[in-house]
Amino acid sequence: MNLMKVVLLGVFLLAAAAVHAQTDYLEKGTSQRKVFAMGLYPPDVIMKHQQRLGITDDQRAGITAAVKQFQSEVAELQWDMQNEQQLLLQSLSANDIDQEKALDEAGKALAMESQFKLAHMKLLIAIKNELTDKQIEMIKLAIQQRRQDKGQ
Amino acid sequence: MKRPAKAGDPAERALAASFARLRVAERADAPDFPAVETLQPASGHSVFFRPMLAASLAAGIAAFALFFVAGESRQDQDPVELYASIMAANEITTDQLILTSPGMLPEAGGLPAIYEIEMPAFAGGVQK
Repeated sequence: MNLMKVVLLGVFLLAAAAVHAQTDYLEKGTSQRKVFAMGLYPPDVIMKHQQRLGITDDQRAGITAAVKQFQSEVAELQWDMQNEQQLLLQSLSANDIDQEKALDEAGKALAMESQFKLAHMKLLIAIKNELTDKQIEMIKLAIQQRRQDKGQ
Repeated sequence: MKRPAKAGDPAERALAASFARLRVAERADAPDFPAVETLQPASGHSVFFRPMLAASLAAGIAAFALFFVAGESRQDQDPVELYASIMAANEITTDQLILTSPGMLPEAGGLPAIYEIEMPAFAGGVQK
């Protein structure tokens, strides 16, 4: 019985942490996104306004498939990337940094982050290619309107 | 050289009598048939069959449930939640190294980003 309580508590805490991480990303991400400047539109923005944009079932399926493809591409990479990042941060935190070692670790971390960025870029391109010209124009107008409303 | 046995041979009769006594003794020692029957499973299968069947059934049900639940979650997973979870789990650490703090370099905070050049109300007066 006690074991069951501990397991349930663990599951609850994990779920809460996951939800917090997701909402945190979405909330702080919207104001920091320069991705729009590159003419690319993240899936959460498209899906949030899917009714207004008139996203069809086929487009939704295409976007969902692209996100799942992205997930499969970065799933294995994630563990190695975090490991390399931690090693790099450990090296950089020393008062007297072993330059050769730190640069070697930085190279590995950068290589993995580049892989992640490429996979993310592939996703964003796939999503934009799902959209029609009319939908893209609507998004551009909405972004412009938003900036004007903010008085920027 | 072995000679062929004959029916009236005393040695043959003795041997037949020995086998007859052995059969009587075996019958006397053998348990009753109903008692033996109760040891068998009702279906007539071996005693190992039932646990194996139960284990197989349980494994089958578990596999089916897992497949069903996994399939449902794959179908129902919101792409926005999935995307957010991936992005939240993968921080690009080295990008933090090239960020410039507006507090440390005030003029850097006023520099327009690429897209801001097109903004009509930009403080610097840059028009689209």
